[in-house]
Amino acid sequence: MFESFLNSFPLLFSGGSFLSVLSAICIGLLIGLFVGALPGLTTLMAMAIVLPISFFMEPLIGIPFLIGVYKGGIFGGSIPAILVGLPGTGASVATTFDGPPLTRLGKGRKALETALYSSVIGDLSSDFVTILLIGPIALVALLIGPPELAAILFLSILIISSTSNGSVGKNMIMLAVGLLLALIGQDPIGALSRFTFDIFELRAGIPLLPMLIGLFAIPEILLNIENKSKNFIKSKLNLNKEEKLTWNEFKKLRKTIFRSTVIGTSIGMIPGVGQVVAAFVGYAAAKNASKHPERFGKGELEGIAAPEAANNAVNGPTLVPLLTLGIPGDNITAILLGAFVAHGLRPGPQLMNEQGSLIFAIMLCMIIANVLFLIIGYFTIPIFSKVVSIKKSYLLPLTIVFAFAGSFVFRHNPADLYFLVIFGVFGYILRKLSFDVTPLVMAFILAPPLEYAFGQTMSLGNENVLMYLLYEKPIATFILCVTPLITWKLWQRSKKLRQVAAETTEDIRNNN
Amino acid sequence: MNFSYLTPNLVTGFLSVLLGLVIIYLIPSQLEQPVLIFGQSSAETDPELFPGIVAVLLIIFGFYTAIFDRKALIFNSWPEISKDSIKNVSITILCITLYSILFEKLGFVISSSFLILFIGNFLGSVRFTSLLIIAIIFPLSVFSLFVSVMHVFLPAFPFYEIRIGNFLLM
Repeated sequence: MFESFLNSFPLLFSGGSFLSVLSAICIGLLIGLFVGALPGLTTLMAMAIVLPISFFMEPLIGIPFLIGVYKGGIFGGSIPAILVGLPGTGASVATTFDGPPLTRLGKGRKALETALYSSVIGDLSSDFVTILLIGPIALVALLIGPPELAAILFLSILIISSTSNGSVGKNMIMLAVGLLLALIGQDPIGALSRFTFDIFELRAGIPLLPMLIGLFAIPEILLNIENKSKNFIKSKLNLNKEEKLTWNEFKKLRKTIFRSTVIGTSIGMIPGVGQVVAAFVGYAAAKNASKHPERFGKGELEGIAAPEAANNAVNGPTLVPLLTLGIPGDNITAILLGAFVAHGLRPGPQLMNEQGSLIFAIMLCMIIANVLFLIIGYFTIPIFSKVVSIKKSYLLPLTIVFAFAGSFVFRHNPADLYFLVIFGVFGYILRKLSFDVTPLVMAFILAPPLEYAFGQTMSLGNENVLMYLLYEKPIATFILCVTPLITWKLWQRSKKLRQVAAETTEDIRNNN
Repeated sequence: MNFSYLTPNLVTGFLSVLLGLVIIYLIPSQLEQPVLIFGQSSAETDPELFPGIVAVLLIIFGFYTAIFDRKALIFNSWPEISKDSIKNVSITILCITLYSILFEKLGFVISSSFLILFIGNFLGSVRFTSLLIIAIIFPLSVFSLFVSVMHVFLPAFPFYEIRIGNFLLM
């Protein structure tokens, strides 16, 4: 594994590809910043729409491009959150508590710089942790066979469903619907067709890309169109005239940033919990630790640093289960999984063994992306602060066009556009009924490997699977036995974390 | 009649149970059977096993939601949606459905221009000239990005090529 890590350096830095990688990351960061800065349009939507573009690049260029969009989008979401109190993404909701008061005090630029530095530090630290963790976990993952993999996939699907937003029952139904959608097409063991209803377009199954764009991008667009006002917001700001963050001010934030980074990294390791919860928990922890908790919600720089460091620190650890076991921890990593699969790289134990250098090179790109993010973010803050006032009438139709073009180009199949519309409308209805689509997407993605591993286990068990698991596969048996306990514990933990988030919001509302 | 006992979760639960039952009903007709070799199935695992598990899960989770989570729906934003919003969303869905049909028939550039013009105008308060310029330039730029830079196919125009005299324009 260490050899793969060393080989990743020449792979990344040799030849002319490094410049292309840098350009791809920069373009990704700019796209992410732009979309994130628009209130109502999320990073997830940006990633879903640009995902097809990455398919036509080399993996070492396309995946860092998406990582750039991801990182740029998370920070971009903080721009409207700080300036006008409208979160550009869910992850920046906690930033709206102290952002607008700081802007009203004429400290908008200071707040944005605090957000930038905290985001970069949080993200960078979690990336180093990820690089350290990924090697040992990948080595352990190499030892597992089909029964263990089936047990781990089963556990992952249950964890993601139980820790997602909303009621457990509805999440579990979404999980079952995801599994059901994955049944359509061919079974992964015998390639026998099923549930195609003699419709030719269903023979290859439901395509992942139109489904992802449909579920993540189209509902965002429809939600924005519900209210037909011409601008996302009406605001005119000039940050060039405002004071910048001083070194002394930054020094006072170091403890908060460190604490939030640890919180974000830990939460990132729990699949399904994600950035929103991390940001709230980081904020609550900073407030509890502060000597002046009464200042929180009224324009405190720590109130910006805490959620921003925490939500960005989630980014790295969510990649560990994806790259080592092929299990995406959230929607963003599900999109990244789509990119890996489209490049012919199936994340999982074998990928680290066969393409370890490439994976470590991508990890290095994440670190490079953070450095570029710092530079680009610093110089473009005044520009992207103007994006918040862009007109909806221009932007939304262009987003639709891009979403459709992206869905079409991968298979050149007009049926994919119908899938896009169907899943778009379905996603919108689910949003309105407060269903979380994460379990559906995860189950859809993980069902084929789960069914395959399950089928292999059944074959290996020779009609007596129970005895086979008990006597020959103790690890798989152990995982299956502790699955209810782990799921229950993580469900309780995520419920508690969400409660902290809700209480923090309530507290801030009452104080204001 | 008072339907207050019909909470959205109760309906969701019943729909899930119903879907599970439909899957069980469809399994015999919608699953291709493996080839028989000397009277024995060539498949090592029963092809009905996994779909059967999914159907049972739908039924179990449906009952759970209908019984235990019946009143758990707190953030259902469906009733809050105004008539205007429903109208706006319905028109947009109609537009994108038409767009998906015309995408191949009219080609990417022309159908996208129509969509941008219509939705842009529908959302309102924009200068028609600037919208028209965007409606022409943006689809052409996206088309160039995909076709010329990434070398992938997008249906360009409804006609294969444009010739003026001996000059081939596209």
